Amino acid sequence: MNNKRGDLATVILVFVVLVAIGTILFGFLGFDSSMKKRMQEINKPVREVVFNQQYIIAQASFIGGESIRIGGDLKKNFVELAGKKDLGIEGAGNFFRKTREGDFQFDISEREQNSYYLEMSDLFVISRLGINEFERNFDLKIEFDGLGNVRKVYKEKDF
Amino acid sequence: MRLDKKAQVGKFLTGFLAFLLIIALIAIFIALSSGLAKTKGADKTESAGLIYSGMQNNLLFEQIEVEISEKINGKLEFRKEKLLVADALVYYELGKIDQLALQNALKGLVDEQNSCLGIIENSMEKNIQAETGIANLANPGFKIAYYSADNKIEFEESLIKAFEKYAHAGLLSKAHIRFLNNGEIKDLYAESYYGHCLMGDKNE
Repeated sequence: MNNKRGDLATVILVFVVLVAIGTILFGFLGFDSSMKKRMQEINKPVREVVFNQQYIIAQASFIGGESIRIGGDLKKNFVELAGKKDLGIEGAGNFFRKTREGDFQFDISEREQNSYYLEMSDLFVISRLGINEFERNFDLKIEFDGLGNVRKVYKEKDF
Repeated sequence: MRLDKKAQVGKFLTGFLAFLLIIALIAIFIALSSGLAKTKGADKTESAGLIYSGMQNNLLFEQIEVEISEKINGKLEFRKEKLLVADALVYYELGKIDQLALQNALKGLVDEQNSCLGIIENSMEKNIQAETGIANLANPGFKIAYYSADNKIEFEESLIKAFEKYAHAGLLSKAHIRFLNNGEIKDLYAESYYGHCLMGDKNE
C-alpha cells in the first residue's frame, strides 16, 4: 500500500515537471514570436523616419551647394531656393519652416579657406503608425567646399 | 523496510533529475533572453552611421535636371529645373513632369560606376512590392530600368523583373512620401536600385 503511494507521488512529480517545462517553453516561444511580430510592425515607421531624415540632409546639401554656386548672400540664396523646393512633403518635418524663418546659420569659415558651414538645430521628422507617432530630433551640420560640393555631413556626436 | 528504502532512493533520483532539468531550463532561458537583449539596443553612433551610409546609392537622393510644366495664371509654362529624384517623383505624381522627360533624366544617371538603375513607383503600396512587381507592372505608376553595356545605355523594362533578385538580396531602397496637394493628402511609394548590376544581369 505504501509503495503504491510512493509510485503515485513520483508519477505526479514527473507530470508536474513536464507541465512546468511545457509552460516555460510555450511562454518563451510565445514571447519570441510576439516580439518578432511587433518588430515587423514598427520597422516600417522607423524606416520612414530614417528616410525622412536622409531626405532633409539630401535637400539641405543640394540647396546649400546651389546657394554657394550662385554666390553673394548665402543665407538669402538658401531661403529663396528652399522656398521653390517646398512641395508640402510631410516627412520634411520643420525643415522648410525653419528655413523660411531664417532659423539657421550658413557662413564661410573664418578659420579655414574655401569652407562653408550650414548649421540647423532642433530639426524633427515624424512617421505615423495608426494613432502612434514616431519622432526623431536631430541637428544638422554640413561642410561645403568653395564649389558647393559637400565635403562632410557631420554626425551629431562630432558637433 | 527494504521496500521503503527503495522507494526513498527512487524518489530522490526522480527529484534530483527534475531539479537538474529545471536548472538546465533556467540556464537556457537566461542564455536566450540575454541574447535577445543584446539585439534590442543599437548604440547611437551605429544608428547615426547607418543614416549617412544609407544615403549612398539611394536613387531618390540623386540630382537630375528635368522639364517641369506648371499652370501659372491659367497659362501652361515650362521650366527646366535641377532637383532631387524624390521631388521629381512628386512632380510626376502631380502630372507636372512628363514620363519620357523623367526617363531621359534618369538615363543620365547611369554610368560605369552605377551600371544598373531601376525604379518602381506607385501611389498605392500594394502595387510596388518588388517581390510581386512583375504581376503589378500593368498598374499605373512609373517604372523604369536601365543598364549600361559597351558604353551604351539601354532601356530594358524586362530588367524590372530582376527586381525580385535585388529585393531578396536586400538591395532595394524603399520610400514612402506623403505630400499635400491643394489640401489633399497624397502618397507615393517607391522601390529603387542604383549601383552595380548583380551577376547574371545584362552587362555582367
